[in-house]
Amino acid sequence: MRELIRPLSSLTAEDAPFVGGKAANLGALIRLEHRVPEGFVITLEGFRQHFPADLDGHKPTRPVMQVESIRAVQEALEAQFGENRPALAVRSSAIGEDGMAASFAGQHATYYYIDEATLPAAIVDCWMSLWSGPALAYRTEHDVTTPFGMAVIVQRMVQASRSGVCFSQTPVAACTFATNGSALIEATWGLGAALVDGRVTPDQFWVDDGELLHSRIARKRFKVAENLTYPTSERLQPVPAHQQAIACLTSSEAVDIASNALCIEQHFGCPQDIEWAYEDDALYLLQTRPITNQLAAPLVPTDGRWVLFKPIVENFHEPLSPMTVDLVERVLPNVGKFINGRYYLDIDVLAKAVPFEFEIEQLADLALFRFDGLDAKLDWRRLLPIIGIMLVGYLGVGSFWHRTSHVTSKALAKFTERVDIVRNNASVDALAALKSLLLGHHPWQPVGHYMLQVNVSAGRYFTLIGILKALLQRFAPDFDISRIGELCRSEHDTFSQEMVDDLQALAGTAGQYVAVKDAILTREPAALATAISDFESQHPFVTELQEFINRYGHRCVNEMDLNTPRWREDATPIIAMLRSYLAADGTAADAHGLHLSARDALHQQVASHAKRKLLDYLIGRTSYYIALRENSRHYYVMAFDVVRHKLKLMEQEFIYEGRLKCADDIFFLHWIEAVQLANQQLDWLDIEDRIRQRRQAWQAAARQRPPETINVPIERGEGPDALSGFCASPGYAEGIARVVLDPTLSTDLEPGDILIAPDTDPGWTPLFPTAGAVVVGIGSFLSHAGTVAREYGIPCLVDVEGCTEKILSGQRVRVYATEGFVEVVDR
Amino acid sequence: MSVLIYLLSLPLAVSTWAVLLSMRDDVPAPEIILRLAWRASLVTLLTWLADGYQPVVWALATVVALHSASFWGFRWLLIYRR
Repeated sequence: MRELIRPLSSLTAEDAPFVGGKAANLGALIRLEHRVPEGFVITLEGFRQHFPADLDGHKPTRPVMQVESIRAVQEALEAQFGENRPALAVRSSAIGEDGMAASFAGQHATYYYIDEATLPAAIVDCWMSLWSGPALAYRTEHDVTTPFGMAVIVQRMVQASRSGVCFSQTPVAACTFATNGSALIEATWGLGAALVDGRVTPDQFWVDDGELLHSRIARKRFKVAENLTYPTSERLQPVPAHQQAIACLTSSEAVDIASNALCIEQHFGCPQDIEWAYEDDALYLLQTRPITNQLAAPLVPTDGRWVLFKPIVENFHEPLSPMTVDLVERVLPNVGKFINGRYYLDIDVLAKAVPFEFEIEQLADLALFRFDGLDAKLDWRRLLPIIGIMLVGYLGVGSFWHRTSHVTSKALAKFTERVDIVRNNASVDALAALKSLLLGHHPWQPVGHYMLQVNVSAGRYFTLIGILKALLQRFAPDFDISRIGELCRSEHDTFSQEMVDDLQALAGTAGQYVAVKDAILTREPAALATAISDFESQHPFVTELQEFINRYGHRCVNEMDLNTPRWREDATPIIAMLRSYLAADGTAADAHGLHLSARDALHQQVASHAKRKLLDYLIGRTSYYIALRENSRHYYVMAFDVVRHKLKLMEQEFIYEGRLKCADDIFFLHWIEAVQLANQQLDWLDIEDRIRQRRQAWQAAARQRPPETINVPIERGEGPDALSGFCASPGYAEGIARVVLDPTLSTDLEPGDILIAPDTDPGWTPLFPTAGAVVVGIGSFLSHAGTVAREYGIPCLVDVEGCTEKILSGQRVRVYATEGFVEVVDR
Repeated sequence: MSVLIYLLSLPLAVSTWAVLLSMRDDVPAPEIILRLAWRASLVTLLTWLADGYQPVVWALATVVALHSASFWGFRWLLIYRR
């Protein structure tokens, strides 16, 4: 008979068939003199004693741990730890686990903070997790044929202040132009379980050749804390506000982890996925395994042909949460679908809807709003039915078009009344609220109640700009067409502009009071936002801040995602923006002056009075609809705020009654599941695995740049033109690049810096006055970034694919917005 | 002739229906009256041409019916199909 218990320090690779891959790897780490928490392993012999029969996929009856085994474990504890027994971690080490073919990552159980009394039960639970639903599904999917068998590792629990994973080489799925070949470290506060379960978006650090290349700091709102009890009841705790947005590793710590990873990779001869933790300042390695498919690309459908639909996708850079997707799909026409949190249009439906004979690539360009070079033959057979449908459509909904052609701001504001009614009506649930606010209630309501329709109607400026461009080329061929943005700068007030004005006024008020100014400039925004009550409630700054929140509190970055806290809930972004303003102390360019100068230049080139009048009319109408589109969005986002409010109320009830365990879990459910939870048709055990899997899938999707097309064979090169895009606001600028993924975390954007962003929604607007130019990964001339950049008269280049990955913060770049490309001066 | 007048009346009906609905959109009363007056003169002209008010009335009825049907139909399609 083989040994029942073996110390980790005694294990070698040859022991793997008997102690599992994970335990054998830990033994190797100890031999390499890495720091590994002390412990031992209950070998496969222990498993066989409790599960003597030949086992297949049928789940056996849960055994009770035998007295002899318990005694052996107690002796091992005595030998390993003596009298002072620490809290323990119990981890699976199944046969075949952590191998080259299949890692079983996250499929088997791990238990933290186990004491001696509960240790036998935790060991048996660990064995039983071989037959958990996810583990059995994993075996089937990966065609695993190794027999059922599991050793169990018992280790001292590391009191991890920070932890995470390190890939000794960035996996392909997370690989980018700038980080190819480097080690990738993902880190979060507390135990790494939060990261592995997809509960938090981790900080990311790329290290190459002993040097920190690049880092992305995320907002880490939760952590698995150090005082867990078994069973895992309250695993997740909020991270203190002042810690959420700061890096949880120093650069030297990141380099240290990466060099350890490289050493381990060399030993094992293949890239490794390593779990690590810091206990005080000591680095512990918790496991290592070959990189298999942990960061594999998210699944995409094999049927249908899909293309990203830019007007929707450009509003958010992270995938939408499952609840948002489920609810939003219920109010969208059935012409596309969300795939991995991003909206794709059915390209076959699009082909039927346009009266031109487009190639598949051209159709994709159409959905992506890349109109340059689009040239196709009119298909008369398709044109006639389309005209027929459009005429009937005009008769049906044309009244909207007429009503929105001269709509007043007072009429738009009526939406707020409707929002208040729906918000305060407890009998209206989240789904009903979304439908009511976005689809309208009856056909003769005030136009202000149909804010989404107003937004869609305002989209007619697409056509107006096309006509304007054509007329400019005809009437004024020498006029610089790239100045069309300056021409169409909105003469009408937009909320984006007003928001920046209000923020500048707020910064002005803050600047008048030394204590307020010092607090904003010296304290972390997140900490200050929660401690704003330090100032007197009647303080002019607090009063003004409250007024600002009353007006714009429903907005935030990524405002389309229901899982994003609004500024009303978390004022940190506002404080961060005030900090930028106070630090920058700059003023924006005179955008109105640019508009007048462009118009004068045009008038000089057009001799005919009638032609000038026609062009001025078109310019006026275009700018009106641009403002209408911006302003209608300010209102319809209120619907998302109301839906979030109602979901949070549901969540509070679920958490109180134990049907949900953690804040924000509700956003990883589908609506029907939330309803079933409310009706007690489901409970926590039914949905726990679904939530974990969806969080992991969401994290996988968030790591990746979404493919522009699915099942459409289009090849787009990444050659020298890879940093090219479309001019949304003309001009030239040179400066230091600042890659900003979350504007609430950016406090280092200095006047004249080039803002490099994945996308921009109105939550980004306050950064624009400080930036010297803006480069955006996705967008179009008509998107928010372009609209606001034209307001401020700063160069803006949109649709620069992968700009946040190809350009690194600190690099000097030149933005040739008029010409449509960015040049990195020093790499 | 009636059919032609009916067809010509359809866009006018859409525009008139929009003006009637815009009475709920905080448009100042004098502006509403001005817009309605202008359309009323066109209605008078079309009625005279058709030698009767039926084509114009039917056009307005068509637009109101289509507006309601498309609103409810679209809403029904989105809400009840899932």
